[in-house]
Amino acid sequence: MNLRLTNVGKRYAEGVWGVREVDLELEQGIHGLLGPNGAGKSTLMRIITTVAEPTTGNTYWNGTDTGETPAAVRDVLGYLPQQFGVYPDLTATEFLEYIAALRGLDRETADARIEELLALTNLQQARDDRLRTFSGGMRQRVGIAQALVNDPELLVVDEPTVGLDPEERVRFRNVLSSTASDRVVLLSTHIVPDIEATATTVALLEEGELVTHTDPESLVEATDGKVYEYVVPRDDLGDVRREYQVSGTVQRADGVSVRVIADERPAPDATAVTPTLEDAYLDRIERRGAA
Amino acid sequence: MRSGGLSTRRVYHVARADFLQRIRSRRLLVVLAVIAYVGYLVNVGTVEIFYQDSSNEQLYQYAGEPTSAYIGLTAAVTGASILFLAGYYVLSGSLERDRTTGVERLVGSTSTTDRELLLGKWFSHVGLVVVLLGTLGAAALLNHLVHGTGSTDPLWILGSVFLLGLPIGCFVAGVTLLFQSTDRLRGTVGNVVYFFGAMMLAVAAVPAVGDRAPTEIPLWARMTDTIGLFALGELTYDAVLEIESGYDGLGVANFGAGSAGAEVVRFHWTGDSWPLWFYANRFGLVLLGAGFALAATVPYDRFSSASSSSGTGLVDRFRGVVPSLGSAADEPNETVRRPNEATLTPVTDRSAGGFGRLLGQELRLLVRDQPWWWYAGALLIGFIGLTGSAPPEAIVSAAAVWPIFLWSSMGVRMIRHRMTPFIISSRQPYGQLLAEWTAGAIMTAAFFGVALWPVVLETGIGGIIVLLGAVVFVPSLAQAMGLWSRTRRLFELLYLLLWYVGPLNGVPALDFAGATAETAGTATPLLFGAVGVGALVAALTHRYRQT
Repeated sequence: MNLRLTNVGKRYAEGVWGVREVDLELEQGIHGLLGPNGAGKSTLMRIITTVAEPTTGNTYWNGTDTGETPAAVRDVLGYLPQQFGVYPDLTATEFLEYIAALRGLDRETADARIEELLALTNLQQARDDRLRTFSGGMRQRVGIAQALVNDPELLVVDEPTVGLDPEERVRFRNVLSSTASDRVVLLSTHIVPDIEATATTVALLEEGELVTHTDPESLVEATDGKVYEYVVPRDDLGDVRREYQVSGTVQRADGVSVRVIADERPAPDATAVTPTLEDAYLDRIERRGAA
Repeated sequence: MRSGGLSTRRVYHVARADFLQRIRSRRLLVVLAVIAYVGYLVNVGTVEIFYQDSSNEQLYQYAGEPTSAYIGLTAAVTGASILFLAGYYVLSGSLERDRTTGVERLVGSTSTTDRELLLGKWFSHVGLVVVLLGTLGAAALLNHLVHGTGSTDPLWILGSVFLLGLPIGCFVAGVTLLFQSTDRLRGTVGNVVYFFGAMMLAVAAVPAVGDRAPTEIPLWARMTDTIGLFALGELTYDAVLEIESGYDGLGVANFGAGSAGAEVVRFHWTGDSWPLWFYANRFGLVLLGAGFALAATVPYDRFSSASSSSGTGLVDRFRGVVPSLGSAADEPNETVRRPNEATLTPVTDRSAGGFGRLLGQELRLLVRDQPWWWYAGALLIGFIGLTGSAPPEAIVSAAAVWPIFLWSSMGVRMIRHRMTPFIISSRQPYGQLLAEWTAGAIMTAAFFGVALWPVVLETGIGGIIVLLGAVVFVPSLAQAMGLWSRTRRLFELLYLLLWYVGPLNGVPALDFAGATAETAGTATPLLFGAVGVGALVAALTHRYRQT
């Protein structure tokens, strides 16, 4: 299984590009898509899922150009858009039956998959309730279930954990990890720990351009020795923020413990700590912004 | 600034935001283009104010020369009629948009009162009416320069358009808000109720006219004037008498295309003073409109989109009575599967489902969740139709209008519920469209079948073609209109107009349903079938562009 993008771009107006000149190749496994708001993540996902047409470039699924043959990817696709709707007067089971029919499953397979996915997403008790009565988190879980209903070879999920409580978020990560071994999964999120916990590679987008596509370790390694923690008086926090990239703060009785990314030790008492993917992401975006 | 507990600043900003959102819609351009075209039609005589009388079996049609005053009146009455009959369908998307986009919840959480919100919406509606009338007035003015007689007087043309149109626009804006704020009137029911209500109100005072001259018509009847026909009569009646002193037709002017076989006689009219009662009438309409907008605060629920349904469907109610059919939520907790022990059934064939399964799903979406009285009405139509216990024209007319509640959701449902990405990225984007169409065609065939079977038995192949023409025409029109307009209202308005003139009033050329029994064996059902095929092709083209 292989998803390949060559020179993909989407122009919304003269001089306004959603994404631009993106070259990307994804094999089996989970691939995180990171980037600030407006970086073009959702646009890229809409192009991959054939919901939007690229202005330039091509997308290939197993070597087939999906612009010319969209069915090549639609046949094997599971897609959870960032903002999606449901038919509110259908029950969870009925809605999944509808999606299964759209995805071409027969009744027996659909029934079995729906049964299992309702259990997997912890929706069994609400299976016969109308979707209009669902909370945001429950609705999001229905979205996740529908994306998996056809056992997709290519799973594209855009901000899947938005609206989920911490327990369900961890649960979703586990679902993703347990089902990702034999498919290509593209996961876009602002929640870096979700990617850190699941992704085998990370693609970083900013202002519509692909900054890097690498494995999380390599991204983190680039920030090695540049992350420090130390305690500052509360009044000095503003100065620290102005001078350094602050990736975290913890309130303490004697001040504020700050976690900063800096090329040199920011204070004599600062301790170098092991960077996380979030540190690496912030560092990379900051450096690109400065450049 | 606050006056009487009302913040004018808030009202202004509600109106401003709503107005800007509306006028930036590309679909409005189409409406404006149609309005501008009407401005052309009134100048070239396609739409006229006229009086009719017959003498020695010859029908005479008295219409005016295209002076500024006459063109102003014609444009004004046409604009007022369009606003009165169709304005509701143009204006009524505002509250629905706020509900679906979540703006309603944002506004609902602020200290903006319902009164401020609805007044702001009313002003926005009136603003849109001004844009529509301005377009009509400008088009009439420009076309008068080219096609008109005498000097072009902007005051007569624009003044008439706004004097007749703006008050009725204010009135319709208020009614729209009241209907859209009332739970049971905001959907298809309200659209149908408004259509018939407006039709009835437009002709309510006509029986009081009789053979009276315009000035002899009782004041109460004149005060019910909605689109200005009584005022037109008072203004232009004497001009008709000047050229035909023996005129003894209706004292109220008519307007439209007139009769093809009539001999047209032109009268010359260059304007006159508007009757005083008419100013009071117009002012009353404005007040009524504002009053309806304020009355809408009573049924308006600012958190309607956030409130959950109590499950009002028949199945839910039945479950309530028979607990054993209750949802799984009532049952003991089942084992929650942990992800790492998940074994999902592998999918080996992603093309095994086929069209039939999708059709079943679309049929379910189409038919379910109607109110109980709709199913009861459908059963009644079925019973009466199958037993042949009602005149054909009555049962066919009923069968042709009852499923409008189903048809009008076609094409719109996936947009309204933001399902488009799922459908476009599925393996059956065209299959879904065709399944939805087929589901609509099945329901159309069911309703028309029970009503038309005597015609089919009587006329054979001719009757079958009538049935097929209707089965192709109606769902295709509904789906194409829904996809294009992204609202159910356009189809509902067009279809109700067509149904009113064709099947209900028995005009054979527009009888797509075969209610008149005169269309079997003619080209009419074939033409409607062809229009249906064209609409289906348009819908498929739309889907092709989406994919």
